[in-house]
Amino acid sequence: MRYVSQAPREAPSSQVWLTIGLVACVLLFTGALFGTVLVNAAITVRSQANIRLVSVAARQSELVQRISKDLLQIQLAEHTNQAPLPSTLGDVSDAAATFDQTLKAFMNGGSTTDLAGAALTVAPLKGDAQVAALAQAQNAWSPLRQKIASFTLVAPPVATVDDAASYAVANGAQISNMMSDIALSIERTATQGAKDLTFIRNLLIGLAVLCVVAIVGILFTRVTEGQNQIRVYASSLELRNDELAESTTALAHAKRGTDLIMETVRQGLLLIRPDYRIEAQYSRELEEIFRMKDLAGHNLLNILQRILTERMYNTSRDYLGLLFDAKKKERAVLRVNPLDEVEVNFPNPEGGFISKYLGFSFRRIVQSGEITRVFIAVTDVTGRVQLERQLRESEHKKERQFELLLGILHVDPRMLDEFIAGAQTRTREMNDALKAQDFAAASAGQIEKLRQRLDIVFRCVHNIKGNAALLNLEYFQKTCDTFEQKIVELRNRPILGGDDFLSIVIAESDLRADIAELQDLREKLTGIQRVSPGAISAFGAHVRAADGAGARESGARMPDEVVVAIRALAQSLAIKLEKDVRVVDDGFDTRALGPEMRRAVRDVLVQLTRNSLAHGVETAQLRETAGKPAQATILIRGLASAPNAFAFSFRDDGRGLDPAAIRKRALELGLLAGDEAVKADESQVARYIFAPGFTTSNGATTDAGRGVGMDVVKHVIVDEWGGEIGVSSDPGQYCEFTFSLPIATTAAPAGVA
Amino acid sequence: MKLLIVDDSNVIRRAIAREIGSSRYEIRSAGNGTEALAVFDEFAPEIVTMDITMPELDGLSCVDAILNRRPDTKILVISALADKATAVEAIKRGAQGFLLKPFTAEMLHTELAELLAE
Repeated sequence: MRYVSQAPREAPSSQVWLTIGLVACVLLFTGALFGTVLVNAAITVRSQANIRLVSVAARQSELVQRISKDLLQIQLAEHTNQAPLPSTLGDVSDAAATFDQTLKAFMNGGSTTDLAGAALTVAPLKGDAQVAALAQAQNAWSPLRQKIASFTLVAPPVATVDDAASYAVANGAQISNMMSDIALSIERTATQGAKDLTFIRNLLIGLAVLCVVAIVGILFTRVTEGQNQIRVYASSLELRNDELAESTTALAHAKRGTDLIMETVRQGLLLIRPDYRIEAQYSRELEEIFRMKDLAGHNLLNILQRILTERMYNTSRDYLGLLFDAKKKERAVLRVNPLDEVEVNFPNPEGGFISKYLGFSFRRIVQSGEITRVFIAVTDVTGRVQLERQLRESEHKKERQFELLLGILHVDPRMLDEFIAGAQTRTREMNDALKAQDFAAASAGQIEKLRQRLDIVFRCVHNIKGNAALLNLEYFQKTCDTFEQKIVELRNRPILGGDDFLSIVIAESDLRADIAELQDLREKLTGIQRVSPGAISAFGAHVRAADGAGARESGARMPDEVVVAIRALAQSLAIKLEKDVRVVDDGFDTRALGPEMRRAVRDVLVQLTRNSLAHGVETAQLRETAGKPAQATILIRGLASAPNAFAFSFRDDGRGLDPAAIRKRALELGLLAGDEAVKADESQVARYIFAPGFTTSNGATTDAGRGVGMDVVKHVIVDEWGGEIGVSSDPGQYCEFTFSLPIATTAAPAGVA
Repeated sequence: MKLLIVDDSNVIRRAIAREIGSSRYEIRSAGNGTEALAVFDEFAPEIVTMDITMPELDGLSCVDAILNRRPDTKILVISALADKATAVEAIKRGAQGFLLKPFTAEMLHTELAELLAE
């Protein structure tokens, strides 16, 4: 949003000039007013002086008339012989003196007295007409003045009086008129002066009025201008208000839009500051994803710490650091995003945890070269991840099924059934050994007990593996091999806890599922074989050979099915191990035995064959060097036995047992103390090969090793069937095992459900 | 442009060299971290492709050592470890690029081009 920040403003000089003008006007007005007062005062003073002057001038003509009148009275008195009044005489004298003094003052300047008797200073009259009139008046006055100069208090002679009186009568009026004219002239001059002053005064008053007008004008202008300015300000304010209102509306609109997006978007959107705190604006979905309300201001790291594993949290902390590190290129940083698909765990209010998968994506927000924020989008990708996982699993399952199917197509269905039945027995046994509650309760003191359980599981897996090898079921061989590796790993640990068995429990359950699937396939396959009679012939002689009764009837001596299988196993192992071996049977027939015992005998022979090929039989080269036939022989014989027993032997002409190696290994396993080992004879030493975990071979292969084979043999013969085992060996020449199994009871042996 | 390929697998070394070998690059290679540092000192390459898991001196330590010698060296870490912590660690230590094995020739070219563009 753009805000216009421009205040309308006139040129500043106008205001300054107005102010200067205003001050000047006020000063001028004051001056004019003061001048007017002064002029007015001057007018008053001058007019008073002029009034006195005019009255003095006017008095002159009066004085002359009074002298004339007094002279006539004196003349009259003397002519009637009366003594003139002394006051009259005095009056004439005084009047003459006053007239004289005043005239002289008018002519030459000087002082006289006014009508009130106060002293009055008179400036000489300067007007030409006035000077002339004064001179004339002087001329006319002077004779009269001389004529009455002799007048004293004493009555003057009649002639003098007559002379003076006649002169006064003759000239008195003239002098009086002259003096009146002078008075008039003075008055005129004074009036003229007063007029001039009045004009000046009026001029000043006019000026003052003008000033007032100017002041008012200026003030008005200023006010107007101020008002204009205010109006301009007001309008710009209004404009700005409008803009503000408009931008507020736009903002509100934009915010509504953002809010709408933030509320409806099905993604966690947020901004974090460089201190990793979450900005106030984030999408509603984020609260759902993080299972938290009011996220604003929260530190994202703290939230992550709660839901991530410690290791992942540490990585994420480093990663957020990289996101805000301007020195690291964004492209490279985004490339290694560790949170693009991450498992998170929320505590479940009902106990335990809820696992989800979240996908985070990040973008830097750069303002003027600085990373001010990081924009984050979080999506709950649990559904997608689970789907992917299911897809992978179903693909894996399909592959496995196909592999299983291919693996069993070549196998005699009855042998397959036996394998399945045997494997199920073993998995049940394992299941019993792996009872969860036993492990949960297991304490450190029970490690030995746990190890024994581990041995049981190992034996079972190894048994299944051997049988799988017998039928060439590669898938089960591989599965069992992986399983065994897990067990070996646990065996090597010095301390065992209940949790350590988790991987074993899972592997066992997987194996069980695999066997169930195999059975499923087997049943389907039977269906196919039933509808397609040709398929049965594909199994050829094995099927018929498996039918013991049929073989006897035909008279042909068909080898025992177990021997056929052992022969096949031996051949396949021989090829793999690059050895040469043949399997010879002599009077060995298991067809009269019950299926369980038959399976037990077969299991034993499988382990013996595998052991023999792996450890006993030498390569053809070695054999020839030792002066033996290149091809080794395995001999399986049926032995004469008590009526309620089944006895047989297994013999190979390999390198035989190595008592020294067995002694050494027995010492290592703690089966023998040092001095016992020295004393023990060969037959005693041979016993130890049946101990769990016993092997003299260092390597471990699918075919044998890890020292479990003989453990299985002993377990089946002795523990499960209560039979006996005998061993005889000549180092370098042969090794023979003899077995005797009681068949008194037809019930299932101990340990076989 | 001088480029040093560090990988303990001879096959990978040759594959990378063959893929990017052109008139544009002068290429040398090393089979472990110690050897890589020796070659680096003598060869002074501008770009290094660095494997993480190697005998003797591992890739991350090697990144440190190289950047201590010449901080402006462009390092592309190539790892078979899908472990995300390793990738983050590589960038944290100053590598400018990260490539996960297995990678295609196109991915390698893109990475190198972007590395040089910066």
